[in-house]
Amino acid sequence: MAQGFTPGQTQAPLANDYAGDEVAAIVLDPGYSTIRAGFAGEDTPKSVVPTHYGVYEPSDSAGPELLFGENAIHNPKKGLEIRNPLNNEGIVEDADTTAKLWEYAITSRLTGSTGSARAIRDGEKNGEGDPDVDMDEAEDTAEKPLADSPLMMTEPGWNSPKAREKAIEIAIEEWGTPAFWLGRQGTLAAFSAGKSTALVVDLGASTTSVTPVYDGQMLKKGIMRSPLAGNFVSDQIRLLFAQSQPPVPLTPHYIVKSKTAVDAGTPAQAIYHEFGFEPSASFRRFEEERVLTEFKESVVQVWHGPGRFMGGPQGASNEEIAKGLQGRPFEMPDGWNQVFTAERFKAAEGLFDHKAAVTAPDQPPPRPDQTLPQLINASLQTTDADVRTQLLTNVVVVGGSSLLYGLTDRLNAELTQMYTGPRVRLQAPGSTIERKFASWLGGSILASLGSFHQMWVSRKEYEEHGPNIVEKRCR
Amino acid sequence: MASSKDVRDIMGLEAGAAPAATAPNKKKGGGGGGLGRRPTGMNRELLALHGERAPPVAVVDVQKTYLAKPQRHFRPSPWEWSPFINPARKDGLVLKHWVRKPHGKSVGGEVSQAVDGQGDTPMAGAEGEDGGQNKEGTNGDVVEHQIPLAEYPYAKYNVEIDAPAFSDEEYDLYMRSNDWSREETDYLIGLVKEYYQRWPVIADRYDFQSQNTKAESQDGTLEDKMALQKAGAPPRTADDLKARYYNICARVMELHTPVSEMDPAEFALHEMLAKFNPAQERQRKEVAEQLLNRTREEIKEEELLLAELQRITTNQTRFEAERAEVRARLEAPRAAPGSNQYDSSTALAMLFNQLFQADRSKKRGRLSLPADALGGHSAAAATAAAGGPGQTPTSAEAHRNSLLGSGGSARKGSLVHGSAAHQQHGPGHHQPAPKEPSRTLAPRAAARFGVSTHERLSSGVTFRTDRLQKLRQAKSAIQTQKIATALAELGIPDFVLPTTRVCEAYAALVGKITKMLDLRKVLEKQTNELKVLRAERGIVMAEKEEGEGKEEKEDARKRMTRLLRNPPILR
Ligand SMILES: Nc1ncnc2c1ncn2[C@@H]1O[C@H](COP(=O)(O)OP(=O)(O)O)[C@@H](O)[C@H]1O
Repeated sequence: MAQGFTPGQTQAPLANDYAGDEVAAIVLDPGYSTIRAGFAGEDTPKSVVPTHYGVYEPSDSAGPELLFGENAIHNPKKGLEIRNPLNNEGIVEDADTTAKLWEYAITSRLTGSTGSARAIRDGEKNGEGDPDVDMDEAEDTAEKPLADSPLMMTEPGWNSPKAREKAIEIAIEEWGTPAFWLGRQGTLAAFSAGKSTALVVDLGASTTSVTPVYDGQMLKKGIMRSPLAGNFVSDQIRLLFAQSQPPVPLTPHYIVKSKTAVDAGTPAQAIYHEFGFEPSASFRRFEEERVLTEFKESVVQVWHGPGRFMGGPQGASNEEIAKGLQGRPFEMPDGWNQVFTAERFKAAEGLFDHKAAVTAPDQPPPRPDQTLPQLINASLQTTDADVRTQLLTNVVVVGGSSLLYGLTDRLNAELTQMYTGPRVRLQAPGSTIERKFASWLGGSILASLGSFHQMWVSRKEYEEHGPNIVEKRCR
Repeated sequence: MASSKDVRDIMGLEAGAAPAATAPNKKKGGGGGGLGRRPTGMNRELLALHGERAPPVAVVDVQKTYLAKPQRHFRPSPWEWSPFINPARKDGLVLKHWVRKPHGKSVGGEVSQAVDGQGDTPMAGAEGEDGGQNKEGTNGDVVEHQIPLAEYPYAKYNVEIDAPAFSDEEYDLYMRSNDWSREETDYLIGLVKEYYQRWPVIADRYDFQSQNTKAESQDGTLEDKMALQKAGAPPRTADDLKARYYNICARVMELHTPVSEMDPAEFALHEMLAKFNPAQERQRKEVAEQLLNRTREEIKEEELLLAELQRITTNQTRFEAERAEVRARLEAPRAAPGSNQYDSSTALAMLFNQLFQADRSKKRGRLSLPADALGGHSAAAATAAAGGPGQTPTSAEAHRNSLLGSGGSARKGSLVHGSAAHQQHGPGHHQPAPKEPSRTLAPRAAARFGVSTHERLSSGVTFRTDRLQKLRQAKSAIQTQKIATALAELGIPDFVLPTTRVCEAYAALVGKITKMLDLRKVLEKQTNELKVLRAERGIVMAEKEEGEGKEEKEDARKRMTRLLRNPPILR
């Protein structure tokens, strides 16, 4: 009766059967590289927006203009700077811009600016004149983008209490959401893999983190993180390019007008755009990063063994073996191309072996405790022996950088090497989407569970207890 | 445009032939509406190409038809984006979800029905009459009474654990601890409740600061707090927390129900709580940790040892059984106690007394020594049948018991007397004990008088020849074969005159032969085993020569293994 069906009618599966009860909640999962937003209960975020934004200051206008979204930030303009509101640990630095960016991520594709998009009606009017109630209400709260939708946000496990309070403040006061919740990215990623106890290894853009999750709760003291993540790999590639003989020219797309095919290794013959101004360094770097991501996706591979890349006897490298393996070609936007052989293994080796990282005077080698195996070990050492075995059989690998070719196999090998006694079982979602958006997916699942709805922090509670309530409720 | 004539021309067909052939067809077609009918909707030129013959594929212009609309016998039930309140929440937050709306006209009735069950929400009933429409102000503002407060199906997942509750006096009286302040205890209990007794999480989040220190670190980061805790008292481990909490729980349980009045389940729980031993837990975890930290070599070695051990134990039982059997065979048959044991008059007197006593305790004043009373049940039953009418299997059994009690290791067959014994059985007659030995003749005398004793007399007639034959037969064909060869080797003729003595001798001989065969088998096994060990020893020695490191341990273990596997045959 509660679900409003009458006995004897044909019945959809009972709601209890899948325990889902969707309340049109919105899930917002901000990361260093992209912000993911979408409706809870769906399997992909509808809106994926780059976290980088543009600050555009034309000489004639009064104030700087902020540019959000893929469509706006890739055009070279004079005075366009590209920034990221998060610091290198994925913590919000610039709260105001971040709020705008988040709002953009939500409103651009999900709610529209009025927030009334969800006022849906069944065609069944009983003639009693009431169906318009929702409409009236929508108009009442039209200014608030989230008036109709509970909001579930994610955050890194090491988020500061201040940042958390800021998040609920923005959500409830600025966006008018009726209910709010903050979930930990690690925990949610575990949920997305269908686990409540797991060791979540998340390789993002700016940070790699290891989060032990026990029975749906992360273990704070076990959270370990390091900067050896996607951006680190990009920097390694930059160094490799610069140090190779001759240096590999890194050309972003926007400069190139047209190109002609050239032989491998020979200088590019392309026609370049004339801008009449020099696009800012931040813009160029941002655009270069896109090329590097392509390079990561298609060329870089994690050394698969035997042993480590530099792990031959007496520290000799496996480079000779690697050279014998088939190389992979890469073509720069300007047509310059080459087949990469041993180099492609070097870029990611630093994630596992600090000694193997490519270094430069201004880029010191990483510390040994920042490498992935050490990170995992450090995290496990904080837990009980009982919990540790459980975690080791439930290692969940997520994050965009975990898509590096061969990474999970290598990690598996390293872990089994390190933990000989207990069984190690690694699990990485098969699809790219589930890897990149793991924490969003977890949030999507959680926020569409019927039993979750008692967890929301409602606006009433917020008004009663103040923003500090997130600390109490969203642990 | 090419006409059919042109086409025919090109293809070298005779121009006039075809039309004639198809002419009747055409006519028929016109009437019957079959193939010949001129298809509509076709270019004239295209049609001309067909010629007079009907096109090979019927080009039929069919009126477009679609699948009939499926007939639904029900009206699709409308769904409604409707607000609901989760009773598990105390703030009355209103969220909306899709629910199926009850059917058209019956709406009012059903909703009110649903609401009537609630009883305590009269306004909602009125709302139901209104057609299930819900008016509601802004989303955040809760207008509770307007929402049909149907039971929310997921509210039942809102479970809370029972935290122990106690008053201040109770705390002071029973739960004080030097190690724990009241404040911290309360904090712990709160935390346990909050995290549903997930101890790893509780231990992880445990961050107790007494009120005075709390204030200053309020807005510090996680790191600050952790540092602060480190500076203070030693951090409590999960086991410390558990110990304290369980202790409190046990105390509270006691307060509610004294231990003596607890039901078994409660008592078991109380025992568990009260007996929780953090030191032991810690030790267990240490061991577990060691187990986790074993190196690959250690694990391999352990596996090897385990396999070895398993081999040894399985072999051990088998060897044991075999050896026991051999031993039993090798043992000299003990002197039949029957007559020898009781050959002195005192012993006999004692025996009599015992039997007499035993017998007197029964209603039946009869002492009978049934043939084969010590045998199996069936034998006893058989005797009973042969004996007097008064003799029942149970009484025979009773006798056996009494005999067993006194006679000790009396051997089978020793007190057995063939038909003579039966004759002695007078119903209800008391058998004077001293007569007993007179019925047992010394072997020589028996031989002299031609008295023979039998274990069991089978009914009917048998030939001794058959018995001889049977003796030669073993269970397996191979064994039979072996026995036959042995007999042949010894030069025993196949056919002998089966007198009693020959039979006995023959039986003894065959017995010896089987024993010998068994011994041979064991010998073979032992030799093999020895060979294996020799080989292993060879390997060990070789390894020893390779590396001199772990010899000591290895050697000791090998010796142990060998000892386990090779105990002296006859201990
Ligand atoms: N197929 C891929 N192979 C290697 N790296 C990838 C791939 N796809 C994305 N990345 C990298 O993953 C990072 C983004 O991962 P993501 O989990 O989205 O990070 P965050 O959660 O911090 O936003 C970027 O550094 C990007 O270069």
